[in-house]
Amino acid sequence: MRKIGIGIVCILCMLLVGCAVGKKQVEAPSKVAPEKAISPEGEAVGVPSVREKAVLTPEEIFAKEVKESFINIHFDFDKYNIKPNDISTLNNIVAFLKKYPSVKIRIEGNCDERGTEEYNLALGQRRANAALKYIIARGIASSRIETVSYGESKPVDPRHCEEAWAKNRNDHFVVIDR
Amino acid sequence: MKNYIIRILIFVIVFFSFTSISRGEMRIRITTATLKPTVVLMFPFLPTTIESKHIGNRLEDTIVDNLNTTGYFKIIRQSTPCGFFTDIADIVADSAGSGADYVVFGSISKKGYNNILLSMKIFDRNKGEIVLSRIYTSKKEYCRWVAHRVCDEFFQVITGKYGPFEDRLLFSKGNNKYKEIYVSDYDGHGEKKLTKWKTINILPKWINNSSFFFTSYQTGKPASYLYNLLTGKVKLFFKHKGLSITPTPFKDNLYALSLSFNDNIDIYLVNKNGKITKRLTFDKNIDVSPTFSPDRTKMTFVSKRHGSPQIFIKNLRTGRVSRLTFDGSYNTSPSWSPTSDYIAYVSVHRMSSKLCIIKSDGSDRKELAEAKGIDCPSWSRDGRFISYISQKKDRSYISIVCITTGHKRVVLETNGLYNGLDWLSLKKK
Repeated sequence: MRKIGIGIVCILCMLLVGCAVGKKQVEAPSKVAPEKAISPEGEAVGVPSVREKAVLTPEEIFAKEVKESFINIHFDFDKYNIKPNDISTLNNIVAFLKKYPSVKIRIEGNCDERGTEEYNLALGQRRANAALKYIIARGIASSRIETVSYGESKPVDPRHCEEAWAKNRNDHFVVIDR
Repeated sequence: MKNYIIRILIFVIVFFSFTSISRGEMRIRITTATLKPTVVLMFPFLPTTIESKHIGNRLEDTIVDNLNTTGYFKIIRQSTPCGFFTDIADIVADSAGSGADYVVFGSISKKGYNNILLSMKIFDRNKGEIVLSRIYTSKKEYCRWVAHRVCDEFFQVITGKYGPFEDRLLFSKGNNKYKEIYVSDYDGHGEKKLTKWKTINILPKWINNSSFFFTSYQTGKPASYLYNLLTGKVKLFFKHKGLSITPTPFKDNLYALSLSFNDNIDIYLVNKNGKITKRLTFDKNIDVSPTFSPDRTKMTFVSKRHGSPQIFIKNLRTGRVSRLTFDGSYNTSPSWSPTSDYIAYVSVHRMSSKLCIIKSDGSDRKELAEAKGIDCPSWSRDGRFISYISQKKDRSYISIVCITTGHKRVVLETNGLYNGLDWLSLKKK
């Protein structure tokens, strides 16, 4: 009996939410319509409507794909081997580079603050090289990728704890040319 | 207790090794149970004017500060000047009952508009003679240098080795965005920013007392630059497609540095024009941080060839490579003493790190300091002191430790980060 009651409440909630969303989708264009203007070329300019926001420009799509694909991959202490759970990230980057064949990227290898400066510079380079090797093995030209090691100079998280160190042992991916 | 006795025995051995090579006499007295420091009785310098009194006080403070850095001395400061002794009997009388081994006294006066004149003597009470008598003149603003010079010469007299107090520290300091190169006196005074590039500039290394190398990301990738302190000019020394790390002076205008080719990071020699002349290591893993024995026949370096970073020695005549460190799983940043067979290095552990020294045959390992983030050990020119970087909470420190007394002193600190440190330890010309 109690389960049936919870089910009814859930259905009512979903109906209410559905109504609210539907109302918003209908009303939104009329609210922003007066702010539209026409450019000399006859194109609509000014503050875009909510409907227009849904249709992203190529630039916005590119930026969105960069944000979604270029996620840091992480390493264990004093290691530079790619971990299995980072393979999907690297595959996404490979797919991105195949979709945009003129794009060039930089892989930045980073280390946590433990260890020493010179050794960490070398370790960061090996971390960047590890990702480079994976990507070029999947058909991306090496001329499109450069690597750099920052050693321990560019921590993502400045704290001095295991959680911060784990974040700071990474490869960071950056688009340097389109 | 056992460790304490071992430390005393080690100290006795080091002590006798010093005395056997020194022309003078080391005045550190050792008994079976305690280490008794050399006692120095210091009279204020007799001033000729009020202004020279202030300068004299600064000189005395700096001399005392220098001597206290070592842990060798106990300084007794007198509050009133003794006059300028002309008779040895007067010195003996005025210092009677002090227990002093040495008596420092002198006079300070202004010379011209902006110069000072220090006339200073050091009396050895055990020998009953003046062992140092000097007249120093310099510009008023360089009075700290005069004090460093006095102490260096004092060290020469009592140990036979010129002291390190005139030498300077090079270091990189900054935050997570920018790091710049600085120079200061050995005790952290007179800090001066040398680069203002608003980029990452790290790992400075002296070439000689007027120029140094450092690594900069000015063009986006790490490259080695040469800074001339006399002219203030900087020029690109070595640029490479992959990784390159600040060169270390070897000999005959040759420099050793780590370079990456494909996936290998090895050590190479380059000439003064930045052209590669020789490859020194051959391994598919990481090889970094070359440093050379005083006679330049051996090189220590860090290699990951055995799975974790450890310190190795290469005999440059035979080509034979042997592993030096076996304690722990992470030993890096070797630095060979400019005067002995000791190599300083950093042993990294999970939550802290240790500054150690070890002989090139693997014997006589000692731990000199323990802290977070110890890095860049660098010897003083006389091989008695080591400067190093460390961290505590959100602050970074540059400290100096005396290898014989174990006495430590923080000379610089920042709420930012130090990334690289080098103490001018080149042989005095």
